[in-house]
Amino acid sequence: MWMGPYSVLNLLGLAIQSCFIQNILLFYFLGMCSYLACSNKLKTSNGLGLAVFVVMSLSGVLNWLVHNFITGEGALKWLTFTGINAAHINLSFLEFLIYISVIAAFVQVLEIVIDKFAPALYRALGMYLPLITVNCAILGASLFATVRAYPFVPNLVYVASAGLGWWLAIALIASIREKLTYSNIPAGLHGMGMTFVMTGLMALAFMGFTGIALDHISETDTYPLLVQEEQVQPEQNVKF
Amino acid sequence: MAGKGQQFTSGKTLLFVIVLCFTCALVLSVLADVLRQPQLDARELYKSKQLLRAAAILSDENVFLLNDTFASYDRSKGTLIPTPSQKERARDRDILTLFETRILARVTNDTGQVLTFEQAGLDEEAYLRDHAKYGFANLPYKLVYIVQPNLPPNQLSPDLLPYGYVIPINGYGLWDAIYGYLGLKADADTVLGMTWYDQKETPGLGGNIVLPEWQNQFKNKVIFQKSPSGTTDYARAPLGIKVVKTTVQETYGKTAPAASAVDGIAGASITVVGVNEALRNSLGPYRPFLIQAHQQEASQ
Amino acid sequence: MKLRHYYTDQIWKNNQILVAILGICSALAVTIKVNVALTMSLSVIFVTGFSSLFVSLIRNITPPNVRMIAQLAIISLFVIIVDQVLKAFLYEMSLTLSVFVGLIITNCLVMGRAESMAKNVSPLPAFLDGLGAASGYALILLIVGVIREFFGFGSLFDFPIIPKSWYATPEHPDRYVNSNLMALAPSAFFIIGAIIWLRNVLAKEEDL
Repeated sequence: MWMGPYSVLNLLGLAIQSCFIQNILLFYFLGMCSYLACSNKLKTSNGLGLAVFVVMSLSGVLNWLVHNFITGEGALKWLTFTGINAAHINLSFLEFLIYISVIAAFVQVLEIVIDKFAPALYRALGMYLPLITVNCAILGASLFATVRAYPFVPNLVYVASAGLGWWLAIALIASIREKLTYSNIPAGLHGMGMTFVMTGLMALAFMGFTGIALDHISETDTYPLLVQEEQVQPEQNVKF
Repeated sequence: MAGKGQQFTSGKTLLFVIVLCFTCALVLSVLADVLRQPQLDARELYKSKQLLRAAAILSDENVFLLNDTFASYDRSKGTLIPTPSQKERARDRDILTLFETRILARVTNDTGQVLTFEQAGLDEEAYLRDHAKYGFANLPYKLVYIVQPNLPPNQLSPDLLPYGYVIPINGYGLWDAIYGYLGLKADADTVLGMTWYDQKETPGLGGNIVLPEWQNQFKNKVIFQKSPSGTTDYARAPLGIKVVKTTVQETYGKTAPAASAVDGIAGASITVVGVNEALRNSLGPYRPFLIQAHQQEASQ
Repeated sequence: MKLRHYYTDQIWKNNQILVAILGICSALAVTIKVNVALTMSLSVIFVTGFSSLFVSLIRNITPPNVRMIAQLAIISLFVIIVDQVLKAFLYEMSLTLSVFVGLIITNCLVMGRAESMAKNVSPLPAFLDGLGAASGYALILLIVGVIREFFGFGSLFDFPIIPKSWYATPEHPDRYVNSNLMALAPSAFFIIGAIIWLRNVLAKEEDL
């Protein structure tokens, strides 16, 4: 439940996978709305990226707890110590509702906390903080983690890296857009059209990371079989 | 507009929230209850179809098969009867009935012994749920499906020689894990069929592993690689079907490894490697069971 | 505003994807084939229409400080209904759509309609507005889906369009190679970018 069969190397692979290869913005295209609307300046993009990273990581952990102790299949078996046999109650139909409520509540609490302890940051983020609640990427990261049934630590690594990946993508597009204000592009493509094309190109570029498979869990040693395969090779020369 | 300027006290807000939550929960609970059985049936039907396709009892167009000819299900007898000239799509109800009567879920251990879930001390539902993600090959008790012959339900018993076996296969493709079923004949060597029921590969490239044209190549291949002389050393031969980079004709010609190889998919090299390793790593731990099943069939 | 304008306005003139740039998230990953795009479109039309309707119905009794979470709850209710129905009756489609049905909850389009229109107008216009916005979304989704499936797989609705007899010979049965770029997700970006360009050009010509 905590680590599962994942080794530390698997965790590193998982981090690379969710940050670069299956970047939640450039591969799954989640979180596009705020990405397109707020990526004009690098400074605001950084603030937004940081906020999304924090919310995604922590709400991802909270939602893991919700899934494993409330809404998953057979998740309520911990209630047996109170005498109620709840192992067969399946609350999975409430999952979406509880996830989004957890995220909304968490963002609300975070807003209050930031306002109290870092007012400058609160002013900088301005209206973006409540918008994060409806950021597809945050709910998306929780949903993907649920579907893939990660244990606790891999789940934490996954949602944190997904948040970092989102931040990376928005920072990249903001820096490109800042430079693009001086470029000569057709009038019809100004603004959104060009951003779309650029994002598509960036998405294609990120696909170049494919193939780093450190997060695959290998339980069997495949070397002995490789040796046997080598012995079979010479037979190829026998032609009938 | 009525309501503008109306003061909302904390009490009213709380009441509103409670009523809203209660209403939503009520609607959803009723809906979930009503839809629970159709959902379970849909899931079972999907799994049954994939498994029956791997066992060559169902074609990819959802027509029943009996020894490679089209068949239809006779509800009064409870068996399949051949209808070579008629291609009748199988009814969902019949597929589920056939699955329930002819497919037995068992576990096998490291000595090749076949046990029921009760005999192994396992709860079937919990076992299937807990190990669905990482696969069954490396557990002390490994899941195996026994496919019983085409007989009326009252004539079926666990002691009969099976029609075949289905082994669950899992591994990693390019993007995510891949899960499938491999159907074997009673000799536990020749392949009946192969299906992939859960994969997230690139459509058009690696995603082609679910296409019937590609899966049909697995039919009649052998999982125990033959030695050059044509015999099979069940204890030591490499186990698995190899997906080659180009075509089997080019790579192996007519040599012994060709009977355990299929053509590759252009542009899907990582998925293909994933399939190879999935087959190898999933079948390897079943070797004692496969040898024992083969001997059982050979002695009859 | 005439009642039917609530519906027709949203389809092209104020198309939510092209003009307001809302609702992109799921528009890109589910346009790989037309049947997937169609299922997604119908789901969004259902959710947007009915959530706008219900948000409008309770707009006078909703306390302002829980307004947003109330809207989210109503939207989630309808999304869960769609998800449960898909799992029961269109199981294989629900496997293909997987998490993207759940992501309709955070689809800016649905939330945008509830926030900007539904809470201010009476139920029937709100309902039509929701249906219209989602229909505009569906239009774009289907256009992208048709382009991607046709060029990426040579089929429409899984029905092969380009006949094998046009290109296959016994020696080279695979001579026609589909555009693999269309099978990959970034192609949806390029297509939508092009449609935005087209729309901007057309809108400018109208103004002149």
